Amino acid sequence: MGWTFYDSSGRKLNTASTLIDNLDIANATDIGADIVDADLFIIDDGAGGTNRKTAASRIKTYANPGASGGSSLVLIGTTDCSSTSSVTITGLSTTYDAYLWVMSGLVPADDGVDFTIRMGDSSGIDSGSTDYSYIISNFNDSTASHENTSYNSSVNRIAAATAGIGNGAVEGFSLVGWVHVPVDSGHPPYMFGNFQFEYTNGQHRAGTVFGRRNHSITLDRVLCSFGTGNIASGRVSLWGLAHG
Amino acid sequence: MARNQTIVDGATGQASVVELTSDEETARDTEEAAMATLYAARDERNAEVDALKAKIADGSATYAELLEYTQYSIGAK
Repeated sequence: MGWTFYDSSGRKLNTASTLIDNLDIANATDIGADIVDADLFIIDDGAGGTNRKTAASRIKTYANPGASGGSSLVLIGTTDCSSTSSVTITGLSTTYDAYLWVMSGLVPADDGVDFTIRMGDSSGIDSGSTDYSYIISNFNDSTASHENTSYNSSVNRIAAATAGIGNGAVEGFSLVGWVHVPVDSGHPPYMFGNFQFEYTNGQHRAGTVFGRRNHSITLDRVLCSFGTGNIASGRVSLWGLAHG
Repeated sequence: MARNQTIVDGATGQASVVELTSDEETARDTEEAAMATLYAARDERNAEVDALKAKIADGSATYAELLEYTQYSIGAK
């Protein structure tokens, strides 16, 4: 005699073709923990009606090809800033050729400051008087023309946003940039980024900065800060771009 | 009161807030003093240009004077 199966609602299950809507998920027991690689899902292989199990690790690989060696961004470090004079992120290495650097909504403690970027190696952050060169192109929302260009070939920092960054309620500074050729022997480390900020009078200003550490170093860290005073708030994050 | 700096260890992802060392504090003070001088010069230059622009607007100065000031301020004259 064959068996007859019923679900928790008393519906008969057809062993030849049990419809997915016969499963009562809502009344099941929660897993009670984060999903891990070994957890199993049901999957219809190729949508051909043949159901198989698949490990959660396969879903992770499918959704993020970098996890199996493809191209992807890998978080190196991130921090919420709170009354700190600077943020240094270490851990840059030959693993990646480029690093995405995001500074989001940084508010200065002092009004009317500019922004500083520096690089360093295992001995610390470099701030020698001839360590950096930079070029900045500035625009603002009150003039159709290009506002100005700032540049310096031999200075102790990469300056971004040389005009006064405001610290009012809706003011602050953001930058999305890349550090590239970080540790390629014979080449100096470079960075470039697009920045936007609110000037001390609330004017919207923006620009692009190109910076260079003037000598080749084994770059393993980067620093950002305001020209004077603390970073009152905001977030700084760095990702490595994996090889394809 | 000593200032803090934030260091994120990329190997672990751990962020630490630590006080500046005495040497770092001194270096930061020196840098901030230099920056304050730059900011003051910038603000003074901006105020002078704004004053000239106001004079041009009310007819008490000419555009040529503003251009000449600009040449001085960028070291071209």
